[in-house]
Order: sequence, then structure tokens, then C-alpha cells
Amino acid sequence: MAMGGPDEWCMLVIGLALQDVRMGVWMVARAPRPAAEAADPQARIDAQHVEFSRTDPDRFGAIFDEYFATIHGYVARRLGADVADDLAAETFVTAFRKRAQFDASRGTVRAWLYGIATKELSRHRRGEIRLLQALARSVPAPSYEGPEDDLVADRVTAQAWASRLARAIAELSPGDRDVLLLVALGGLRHDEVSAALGIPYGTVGSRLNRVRQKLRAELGTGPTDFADNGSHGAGADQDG
Amino acid sequence: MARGQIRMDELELVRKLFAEPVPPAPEVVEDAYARMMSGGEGGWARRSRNGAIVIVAAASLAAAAITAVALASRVSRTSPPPPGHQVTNKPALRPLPSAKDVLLTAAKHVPPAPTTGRYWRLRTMTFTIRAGGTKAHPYNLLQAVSHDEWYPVDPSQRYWDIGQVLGAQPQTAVDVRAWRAAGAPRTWRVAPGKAPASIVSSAPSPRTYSSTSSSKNPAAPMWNVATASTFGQLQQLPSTVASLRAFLEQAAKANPIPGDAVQQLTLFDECVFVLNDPVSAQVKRAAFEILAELPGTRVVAKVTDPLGHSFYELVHAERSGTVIFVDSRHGRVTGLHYDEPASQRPWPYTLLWLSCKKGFVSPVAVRTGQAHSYLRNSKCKLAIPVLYGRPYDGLLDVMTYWVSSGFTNASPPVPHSR
Repeated sequence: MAMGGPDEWCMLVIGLALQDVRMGVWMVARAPRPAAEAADPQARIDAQHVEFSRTDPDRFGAIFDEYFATIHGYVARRLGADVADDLAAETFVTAFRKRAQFDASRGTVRAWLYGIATKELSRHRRGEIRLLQALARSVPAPSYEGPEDDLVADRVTAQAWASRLARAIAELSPGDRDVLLLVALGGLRHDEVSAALGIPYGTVGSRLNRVRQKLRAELGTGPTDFADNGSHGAGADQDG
Repeated sequence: MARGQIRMDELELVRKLFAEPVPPAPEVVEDAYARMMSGGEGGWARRSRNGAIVIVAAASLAAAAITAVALASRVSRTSPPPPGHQVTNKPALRPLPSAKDVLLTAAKHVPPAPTTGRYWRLRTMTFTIRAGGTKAHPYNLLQAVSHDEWYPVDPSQRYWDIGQVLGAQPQTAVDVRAWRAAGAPRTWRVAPGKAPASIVSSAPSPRTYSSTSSSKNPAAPMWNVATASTFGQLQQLPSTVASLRAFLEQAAKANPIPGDAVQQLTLFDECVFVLNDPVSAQVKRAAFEILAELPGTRVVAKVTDPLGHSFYELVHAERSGTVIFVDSRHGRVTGLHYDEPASQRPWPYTLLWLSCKKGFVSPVAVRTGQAHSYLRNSKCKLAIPVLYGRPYDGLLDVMTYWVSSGFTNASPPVPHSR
């Protein structure tokens, strides 16, 4: 292949440099990044999607794809599917609008989204209470007696528990209820609940412990059953 | 332990109390997405729901912001998604649409964009996936390189390319586990020898600045459409479907590489090229419509790329092995993927980057054994072998993403800009 004048040689050199970089070939060994980066690949990927989306809004689509059904499911369990359609959508509208404010150092994207959803949920507290009360009424009263065979007795016992539990959850303070349901339904870790609700890490554990004591009391189990400090069990409690 | 059991039962009871959620209906998902992105389309200012003006600039992916890209999400077909992979390629909520639907939708959504400016700015990301790790703990390694190219409209100005190697990482969460088991190395030897290219690192490299004078070199700026090499010519491309089709068919015939069936350009290629050149929105719409009517095009997947872009992957019968990514929601072709089946490893091709007489530039793949005769027969002024033979054994996949393209009046962020 014949080469032309100096311009072409210059172009060849530039072209070589360009292409080597373009194809990812010239890789210069550099100092390694901190090991912590690989600690939670999903969280890191999420955070970078949000980071990118600040300048390229499309990138937020990945966050939507990853979490819309999750958030929708969480809201649907608390408020019903109809409300969830709107509220989950609103959560993502808000998240998208505030994506520049997301701070990865303060928590995961997942926690951030649950936090936004929780704020949206707070506007529907009455609806949630009504739903829980309806749930409590829809099953036999706890004092119901009479089944003659064990199977029915078990079922009724379970129904009675459900009724008591629904009533107990309805009677929780909104903050306590949020902590309980973020852990139980959302599956959030304590640090994520802390980030989602903007409360100290230790408060998450103490609130959860308090809620559990209330629920257990309501369900008729002795308080000694959970008189520990909640530092173990179910892998969820890590009081600070 | 009894306490732990009680605690678990308790949370379990709460979970049981609330009915298992039913997945949202597809139209709910679609509506929610549209609602979310309603402030994010195109380059217009839109009024958000609370009344604030949201300025959505054309995407500006600052190189500084991408020094640590998580590149773990693209699922390569050469390595099927492992169980537990959560990042992308979720089960489709709906069956895949036809290629025609995707392309016509894209045609409808081509955003209006400025047709003039001081520079045409093109940002791309190239991802390569390599086999890495040890025999006991094999894993895929994903590397990324970003490019921010500034093509001056005024030929007296310089062309700039700001490149950055963004570092390599294990590809998926499963690869991360294997990588940890293999000792979590931060550098990888991907080829024998002492060349810088033989080692890749997890750390991003400094940005590189390359420049050339466009007036001195007719090959820069360099456009993809074979018969148009200046901004003026591109602006004058016919914008009706019939006339553009006739023009592009002619352009495909004017192939700078005659007699090479592999490299014989097709109408499909030309349409794809046009869609990322500085042409008007009308021309892009027409190009999508031509593609939509082209037989042999089909949708193979809906995926999300490593940067979170959702798009459809389309292939054309005459270009097996080349996949184009169509973001139908935003009327864009966002990338190209040269898909080599795993059975053809080691890489049987030599990748060449060509700069040809007519301003045609394209990465092309030529079988290694044919490279020399290919070069002899081509009319290219320059042909630069980039990947040549065995040294890059283990390269599984190469993907190029067009992050964004458009005219701008800004200046390239280069040191000591001239």
C-alpha cells in the first residue's frame, strides 16, 4: 500500500493512536482502585446509572426497569394495586426529577427509591389505615371459638392472628410502620432503611425492636420472647 | 435460637398478612415510563408537573464523570446470562415487536435537533469483552473506551478527539464472584509480550487528546456516507423516502472496496450510517422508514446496555453478525455490535480501520488470511490493522455505542485549545 506525503504519515500516526485508544488496546497499568468498589456491584451499577442520567436522561431507564415492579409491588401491598399504579409512577417521576440530588455516599439507589415511595405513601395514611382496618374486620375476631377439628382450628388461629396483626400494624405510629414494612415487605437492610427514612442507623434497630414487642404482645406471646437487644435473629437486626 | 425463630416468624407473619403483589400491567409500566420521561425527551425545555422548567440538554456525558463506569450489565451472547444475574435482560413484559414496528416508531420519534453549529460532536463508547481469570475461576472481563469527537464545521478549525480508557472490570455479578475467587487482580495480561496493549488495568487512564487539521487533510472530518464528505453535502441529502433510497442505493454501489462481498455495502449499512451523520431530522426519519420496509430485518432482543440505555437489537439477513441497536423511543440508532458466535473463537477476523479516498470511514472485519489481498485490492489510502491475528485471542465481543451526536456551538474541552 503506497503511502503519500507527510500529511498522510501524520494522519497514520494520529489514526494509530486513535484506533488503539478506540479499540481499548493501549492499556497502561495504573494504580488499583479501592477494594470497596466491588463490595456491592448492584448498588454501584445503580449509582452509576443515576450518575449518568444527570447528563443523559435515558440512562434512568435502567433504574426504572430494575425497580419499577419492585416499588409497585411494595406500594400495592400497602395500599392496593389501584393506588400503586399511580403512586409507583409518581415515585419514579419524583426520582427522575431529583436524580441530580441522589448521593451515593448516603445510601443505595434502592433505598433512595423506597424513601421517595415512603414519602408518597405518607399522603395516603388514612387510606392505609382503612385498608388495615378492613383487613382486621375481614377475618373472625380473635376470641372466636368453636372449631372442632385441628385443621379448622389452625386456620382460624391464623386468621385470628392476621386480624390482630392488621390491627396492631394500623395502630403503629407512621414512622414505626414504615420501618417495619420496609424491612418485612421491602427486604431492606438496616442501613437502607436508615437512608430511606433519613433516620440514624441505630434508630432503625430500636424502632424495629419496639414494633416487634408491640406485635408480639398483640399476638399474645409473652414479652420475654424478645427481651434481647435484637442483635441477631433473622439477619435483620443490627442495632447500633 | 428460639428467639431468632420467633423473630423470623413474626416478620414472616407480616409478609403473609399482605397479599403477594401482582406484577404491574404492561400498560401501567409503559404509562409510568412515559410519565417519568416526559421531561426527558429531546432537547427541549418542558414544564414539569410542579411547574418548574426543566431544561433537558442534549446528553452530555462528561468524560470526567465516567472514570469509573460500572460495566457489568451487558449480557454477551457469547456467555449466556448466569443465574442470579439481575442487571439487565429482564424477561420482556411484552412480546418483541416486529422490526417494522420498531423502526417506524423510531421514525416517528426522531427529535428535532439543531442543524448548524460550530462543531458536530459525536460521543461513543466501545466495549470489549474478553475471556479472563484462571482455569479454576474463569470470568469475563469488560473494558470500555470513551471517545468525544469534535468535527469542526469550519474547515480552518481543528478536529479533536478526546479519548479515555475507562478501565476493565468483571462483566457480571457472577464474574465478580469468580474474579474474587481468582484473587481479585487489578491488572490483566491479555496478550503475550511487553507491549502496553498486552496488559489491561481496572484503573482508568488519563484522557488523550488527538487532533488533526481538517483543512490539510481531506479525510477529516470523515463521514460514513460514501458519497458525501462535507457538511454541506450531508445537509443536502434528499429527505423523501424515495429519493433518499435512490441516493443511498447509489452510495452503496460506490463502495470503495470493490469485489469484496463481505465488505460490499448495502442499503441497510448506508441507512445505519446516515442515522449517525450530521443530517436533518427529516433525512433520519426517511432512513428509518427505508429500513422499516427492508425485508430481512428482525428484532432479536430488547436489552439494556452497560450505560442503561434500553433499546432493541436488530439484525439484517445480509449482515449476519452485525447487530444494530435501535432506541425507538428516542428515534436513534445507538450502536453497533459485531456478534461473533462462540464457536468461531479464536477470533478469526482482523479488524481494520479504514480511511478511504471518499471520506468513508468504517471499522470492518476481514478474515485474517485475506487481509493482504484485501488491502491490495481496496482503493483505501490508509488501512490500519488494529487487531491482527492471535495476540488478541480471548476477545469475545466488541460493541460500539453512539452515546450522542449533534451540532453544538461549544468548544472542545481541550487543554491549550487553539
